[in-house]
Amino acid sequence: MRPGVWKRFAARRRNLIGLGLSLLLALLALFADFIASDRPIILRQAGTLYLFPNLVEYRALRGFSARDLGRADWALWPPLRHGPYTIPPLATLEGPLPQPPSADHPLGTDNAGRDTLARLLHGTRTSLGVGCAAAAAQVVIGLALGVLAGYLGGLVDVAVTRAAEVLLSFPLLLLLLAAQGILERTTLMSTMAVIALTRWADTSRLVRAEAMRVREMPYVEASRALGSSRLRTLLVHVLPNSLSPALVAATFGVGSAILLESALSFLGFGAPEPTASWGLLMAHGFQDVLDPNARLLVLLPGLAIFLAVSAFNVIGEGLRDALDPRYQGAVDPSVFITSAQNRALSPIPKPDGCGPTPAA
Amino acid sequence: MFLCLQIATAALLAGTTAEADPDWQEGRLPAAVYAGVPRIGGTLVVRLDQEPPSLDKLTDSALAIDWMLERKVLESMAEPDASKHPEYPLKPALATSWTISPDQLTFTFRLRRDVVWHDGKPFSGKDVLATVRKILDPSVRAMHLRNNFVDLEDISTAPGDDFTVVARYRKPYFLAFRALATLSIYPAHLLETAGDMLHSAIHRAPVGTGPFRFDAWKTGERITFVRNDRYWGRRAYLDRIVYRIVADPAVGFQLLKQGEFDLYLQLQPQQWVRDLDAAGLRKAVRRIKFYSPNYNWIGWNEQRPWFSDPRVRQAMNHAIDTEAVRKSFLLGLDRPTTCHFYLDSSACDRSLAPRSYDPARAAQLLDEAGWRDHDGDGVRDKDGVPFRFTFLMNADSVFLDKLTPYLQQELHKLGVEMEIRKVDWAHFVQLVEEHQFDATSLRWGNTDVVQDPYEIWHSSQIKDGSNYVLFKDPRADQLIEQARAVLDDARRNELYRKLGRLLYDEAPYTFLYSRPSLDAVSSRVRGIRPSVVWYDLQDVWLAPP
Repeated sequence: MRPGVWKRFAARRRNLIGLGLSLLLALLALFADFIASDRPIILRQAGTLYLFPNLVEYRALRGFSARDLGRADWALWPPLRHGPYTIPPLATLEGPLPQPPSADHPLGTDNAGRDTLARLLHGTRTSLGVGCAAAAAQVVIGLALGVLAGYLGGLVDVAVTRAAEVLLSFPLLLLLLAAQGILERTTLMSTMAVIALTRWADTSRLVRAEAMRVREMPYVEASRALGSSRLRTLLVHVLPNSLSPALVAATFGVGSAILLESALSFLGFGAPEPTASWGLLMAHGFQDVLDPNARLLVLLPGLAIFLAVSAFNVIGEGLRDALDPRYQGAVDPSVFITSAQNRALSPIPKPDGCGPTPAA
Repeated sequence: MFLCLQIATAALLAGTTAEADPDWQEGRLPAAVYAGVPRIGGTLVVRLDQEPPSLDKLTDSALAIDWMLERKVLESMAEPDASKHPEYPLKPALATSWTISPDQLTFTFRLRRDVVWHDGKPFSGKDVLATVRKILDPSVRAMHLRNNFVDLEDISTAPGDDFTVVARYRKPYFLAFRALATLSIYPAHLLETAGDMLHSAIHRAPVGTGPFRFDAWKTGERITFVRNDRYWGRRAYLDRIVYRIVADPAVGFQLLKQGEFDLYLQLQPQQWVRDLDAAGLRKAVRRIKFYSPNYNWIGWNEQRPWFSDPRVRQAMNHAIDTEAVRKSFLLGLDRPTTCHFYLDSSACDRSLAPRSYDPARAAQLLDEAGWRDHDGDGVRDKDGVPFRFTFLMNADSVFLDKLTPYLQQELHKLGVEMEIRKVDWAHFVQLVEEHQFDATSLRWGNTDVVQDPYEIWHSSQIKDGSNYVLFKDPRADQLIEQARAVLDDARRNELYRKLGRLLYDEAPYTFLYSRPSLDAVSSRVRGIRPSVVWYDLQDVWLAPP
């Protein structure tokens, strides 16, 4: 990253809050099994020591329950002793589902009797996983096609641009629903793939414009004059210098992919049961929306989606501004003037003002 | 007779049940509803949760069409007597009397002479003939009705007498008479030009002889009927019936609270159990709970490798704690059933108890059938095929949304992996009709107590009928065919109980529950009576405020 970008990014507290929030969500996603699981973290049973039964499915522990612990056995449990998938034996349920918050279930249960907090926590993993993977995939596709289109121009450009325009002309959710509907069964992978394959067009448009600009830069001409092959010029000079818009698109992409995954799952065309997904949780709550206990099921995942999407969008905006000082407005008149002068040439002026600096 | 697919929906939460008021608890209407002198006038507003595709009984078989039209707008030669539950014997309507020949093959109906259509034209036997011919016309989408008339040899009016109809059948069929007698009659003079019905005016604006006539249909909003003042019989009390279409249950309930409805159809279970009381509606409305013929089931596709063995299908049944599911997910309102008929019918063998929840027995049955974990991957397999199947469900089903994760977990414990696939209703119906599923769940419903299992269980019905699970058993075929020709109810029901035991052992379905209709009616509504054939609104009147 160019020097000064982090400084500009960190200058805004909002950006840091967004970053902190998304890091927190990432930690929750990574360690969900250590916070909420119906299996211990370490278990000693009948003379055998099991490491991380909460992560690894030991065959010997199939059908394990806490009541099986003998006198010499011990276990280190996560703070919440409910997994996201466990439905308690129906005969032991007291009262109707969904259950209100209680000591055992701090946020109550969903309407199949599963712990809401556990599902929310594990839902973080689903949402962030799908969000990041889909965004990464869409950026890789968009970047590759965008750079090729912008740099090579001609027929390649026409083909990529038209394909992108066709994709963009469909109402997004409808396109996603149709794509998921065609598939025999929807999985998290297919949800990711469908989002990435329909969303790359956004990135490719931005990158293409940037690549077209970079193509005309003196250093690219210099590189060609020095006898570099087109491939080398593309990889060493054009691609790195067209990265900034892709980076911004990626961050926004995570937020939008999280939202799309939740929407698809809410409608029943995303994550399959029993995946813990915020959208699925919300759909469960929505079916019984008249029930006060179910309102929590709508509210909490909604809040989680709001926080996650906001966090990534704040980061996206912060990055966009940090990469392009013009967005900082007239805080420092010299910056303003510099950028105004450079506008015709480059939307992202190099802070040191000299020639091409390949992105670090 | 036909069967309708109904979307299996249910919701949650039992509530506080207050002081003893047995009528309120049981959802029975008190005697006060039938007392007093009927008063003429007023509008009855009914909540409908789904807009019907048309108002045409010939081409569409949605339950709501039957509710709105049968005996209210369109009439038949005879009609089930709704006051005589649960036998529903036929009573005269457009026919004053009828005779059945000793060989049960020839039926003669003598029709009323004082009946006029809503458009003023006179009614006669020609209308009956035209209706039957329309149903037999292959260009008309009337398969659901045509099944009843396949063995009809001839139908005509007596020479020189347009008011006597004679129908002759090739072979005896127990439903032949009832199907013809209760067939809704359409006007011949409008059928002539109606073509395939789909583009005719009477497809959406029916013309009949009944106590109410069609007034208006504002799409997506309301369908209105008004009293027919030229009715041949006792005139209806209500001036007008308005069916308001409100799909969303929460919105509907709000409107009910504001007193917008006189008759509210299809409350959600938790609304019925708890919310009516909580909203302080105990004075303003009366609850109605009524079990019409219906049951839901899980079907196992017998041509998939996993479910070809009856022991496996029985094991699936033992893996579900149906009683706990009923209590936790359905608030205990549904009644468990093992019968493919109306629960209270003597065609049901009541000695067949639902299979108990018994995972050990289920595991044993799976072992016996050869499904063991041979390769040690934690999933049972047989001949190299792992026991990993997909449960197809309609994405709107609230009940299945709860049941399927539960079933998934129970089966996982047994070493059976189940995936869940949700599709929208139209796609779902198509997949089920084309047998493109491993396992699925649906509800069968009916608007008459008499019923022929032919359409669902006979092996000939795999192709175009409703034998979706590909059940094929020569013993069942023989029982069904034999029963069709038995006109004596007791003897036929004996055969059906045999069929019931066979289905219980073969377990092509896991029979689940019979669902009550949960309705509410404003306390000013009088003379209303729930029945298998829905409500007879021509007997309903409104008490003065």
